[in-house]
Amino acid sequence: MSRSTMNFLRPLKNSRQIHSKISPSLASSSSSKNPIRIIKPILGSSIKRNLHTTTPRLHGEITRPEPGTGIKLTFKDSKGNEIKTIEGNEGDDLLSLAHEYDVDLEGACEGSVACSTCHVVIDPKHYDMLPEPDDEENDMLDLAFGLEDTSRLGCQVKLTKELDGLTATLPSATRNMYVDGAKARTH
Amino acid sequence: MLPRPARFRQLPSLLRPTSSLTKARITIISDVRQYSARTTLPRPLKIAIIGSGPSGFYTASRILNSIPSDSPNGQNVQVHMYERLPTPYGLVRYGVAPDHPEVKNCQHKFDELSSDPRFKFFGNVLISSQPSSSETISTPSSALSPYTYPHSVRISFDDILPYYSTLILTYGASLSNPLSSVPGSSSSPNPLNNVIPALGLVSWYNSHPAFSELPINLKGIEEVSIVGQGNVALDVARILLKPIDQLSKTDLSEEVLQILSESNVKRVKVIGRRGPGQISFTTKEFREMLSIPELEYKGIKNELMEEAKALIGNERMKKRLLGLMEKSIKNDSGKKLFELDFLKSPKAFLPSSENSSNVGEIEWNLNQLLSSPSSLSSPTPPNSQSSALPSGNSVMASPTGETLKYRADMIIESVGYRSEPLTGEQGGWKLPFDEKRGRVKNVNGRVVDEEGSVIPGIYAAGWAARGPVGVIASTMHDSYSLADSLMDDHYSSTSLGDSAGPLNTTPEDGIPEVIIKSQKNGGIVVDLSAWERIDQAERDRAKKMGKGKEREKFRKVEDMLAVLG
Repeated sequence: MSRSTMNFLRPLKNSRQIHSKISPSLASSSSSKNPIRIIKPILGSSIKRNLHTTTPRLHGEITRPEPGTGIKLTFKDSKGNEIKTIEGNEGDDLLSLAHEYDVDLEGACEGSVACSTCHVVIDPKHYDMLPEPDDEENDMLDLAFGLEDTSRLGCQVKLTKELDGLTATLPSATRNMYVDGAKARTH
Repeated sequence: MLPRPARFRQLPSLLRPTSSLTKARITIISDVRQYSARTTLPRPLKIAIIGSGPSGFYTASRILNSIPSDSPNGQNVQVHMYERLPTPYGLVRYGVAPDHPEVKNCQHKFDELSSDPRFKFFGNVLISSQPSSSETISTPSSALSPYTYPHSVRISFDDILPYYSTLILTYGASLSNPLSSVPGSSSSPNPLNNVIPALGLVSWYNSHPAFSELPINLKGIEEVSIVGQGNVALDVARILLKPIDQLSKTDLSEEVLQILSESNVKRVKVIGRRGPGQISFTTKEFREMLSIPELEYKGIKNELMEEAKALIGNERMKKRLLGLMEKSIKNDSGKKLFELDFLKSPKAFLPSSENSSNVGEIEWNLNQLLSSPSSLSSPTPPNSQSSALPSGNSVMASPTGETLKYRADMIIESVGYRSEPLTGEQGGWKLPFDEKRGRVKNVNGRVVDEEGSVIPGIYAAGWAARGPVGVIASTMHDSYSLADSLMDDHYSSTSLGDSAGPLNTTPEDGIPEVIIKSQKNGGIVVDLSAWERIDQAERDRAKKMGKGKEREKFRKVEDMLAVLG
C-alpha cells in the first residue's frame, strides 16, 4: 500500500481533456499535427476479395476545391464543439476528407469496411438523404463505440451536392475497456 | 485473492478519488497538475514497450503523435520497442486471417513510426525476468510447441529497466486456455492426435516460427469439431471450408496451401456451451461463412432460436446476427457442411476405434441455460449499444446430466487465450502476473504489485492487460486510453515517487548495454532497416513464384536472419 503514490482511481480519459490540462504546448500539438497520414499503397490491394460493393481506394487523394466552390461540411468533436468546417468535392468520402484536413479520425482498415474506427454521427437531416448502409457497413457499425441512430462509417459517406452543410460528429472515444473485458474463461 | 483491483476493474465508473479505499498517499490529480505546470521541466519520457503487436504500436504511435518532435517536450521522448521475433506486427501478421488482408492495413500505422527518429525497434530480443547469463531457459509456449526462441538475444528486465522512465507491457496473449480437465485434450495428461488448440492451428497456417513445425495433416479428416464460438473459431472453420483457389493468393505459405489442398474435410461444427444468443463471434465473420461457395448451412432449431430471441432483448448486434443465423442455406452439391451446435460442454475426447492414439469421438455434457441471479447486480457498460463485445455473460450453462457422443476426426479447442507470465525462477525484478486470469496484474492498465499498489511508470495494454477479447478497434481504443493516462501520469509528477520501483526518474542514456554487448558476441538484433530487408525478401520470394501472391512468409527464424547475411 505504501507504494500508492499515484492516483489510480481516476477512469481513463480521452486525450483532448488531458492535453488541455497538462500544458499549452501539448494541447496545441495534439490537434494540429496530423495523427494519421496514409501514404503507402494498400497492402494486398491486388488480392482483395470483392466482398462488398464499395471498392477500397487510396485515401489522401483529395483535391481541395477552390474556396467557396465546394460542398461544405463541418466536423464536430464528441462534445459538439466545432473542429473545423471544410469543403469537398462530389464523391469525396468523409474519411479521406478528414485526413486531408487533419481531422483526428482513424481509418485502421483504410476504407475497406473491415473496422469501425472511422465511425461518425451524421446530423439527422443529412442522414436521411444518404443511401442506406449496406449489410457490411452495418456489421461494422454493430461494433462501433458510442453508436447512435444516425451513425455511419466515414469511409462510406460520399459527398453529393445536396449534402452541403452536413455535420459529422466524432463519437465519444471515452470508454473503459476494463468494464466488460473480464471474459476469458474455459468451457 | 486480489479483492481490491478486481473490484475496481469492474466498477471504475463508481470510483471517486475520495473513496475510502486507502490510507496510502493518493494525490489529487488536479493539485499535481498545477504544480507541474508552474514549476520544473518535465522529466524525460523514455519508454520501453514489450511486444510489437497492435496494442504496442498503437500506444507508441499515440504517444509520439501527441508529443511531436518540434514541441517543447518533443526531444525528451524516446520509445524503444522490444519483440522476441524478428518480425513486427504481432497478431496482425500471425493472428489476423490470411483472407482478411484489409484488416492488416492497420500495420501502416506501425510503418509510420519508422520515420520518427525517436522510435527504435529491437526485434529478435526476448525479455524475461531471467538473467541474460542463463541461455537455455525455455519460454513456455504451448504443450504443442516446444519452441524456445533459440536464435533470439535473451535479456532480463534488470538489464533494461535502468534505461527507462516507463515500461509498457503489450506482449499479448500467446498461450491457449487449456481444457485440461477434458480427457484427451491437448493439455490433458494423455493428449490425442488431431486435438489442436486454435492458437496452434492459426499460428501454424500464419507461419508463426514457434508453430511452423506443427504436424498438421488433413488427409482422411472428414468431421471437424471446433469447441468455442468466437471469431477465432469461425476463422478456423472458414480456412478449413473455403475452396483452396480462394486462398491460394493470400499470404498462406506454400507448405500450408499444400496441406490444405489435401484436406478431406466435409463438415465443420462450431459448438458452444450456451445458446445462439450467447455466441461471441461477430456478424461480419458469420456472414462471410455463408458466402463460402458450395456450402450447406442448416440454420438453427426453432425452439433454440425462440429462447435466444427472448434472452437478447433489443440488442442491435445480436438481433441482426440471430436473423442471419436463423436462415439455412441449401446446397444440392452438398460438398461442405457448416453447422452451429449449442448447449454442449466437452466431457471427453475419445480415441478412434481404428487408431487409439488419434481422436475419433467427442462425448458431450448437455447443458441448459440459466439466467444467473447475480446478473442483476453485475456491472454492465453504461450503454450496451456502445459495446464492441458481445454480451450475454449473465446467462449461464448448467449441465442437465445427459450426455451425447458424436464423431470427430479432428477437434480444435478454441476457448480463448491467456498471456505468458514473464517471470523467471531466480532473483531480479518480476513482472506481477495474475495466474488465475492469465494476464499482467493491472488496474486500468496501471501495473500493480502483489498488494494491489500501483508500481509507478509500469503499464500494460491490449490483451496482456485485459484478456483476449475485442477486435483491433477495441485494442486501438484501449491503447489510446492507456497512452493518455500514461502521459497524464508522467507530466503531472516530477519524479517516480520516493518508492520508485525498478525504473529510473533520470533514465540512463541510449541503448541498454546488454544489447550492444550481445551484438558484439554475435547476437542479431533486428532493427527497422533489417526488418525492411526481411520484408522485401518475402515479397521477392513471392514474385519469383509468379503465382500472384504478395508475400511468401518465412516460416523459420533462421531463414529470416539468413536474409541479413
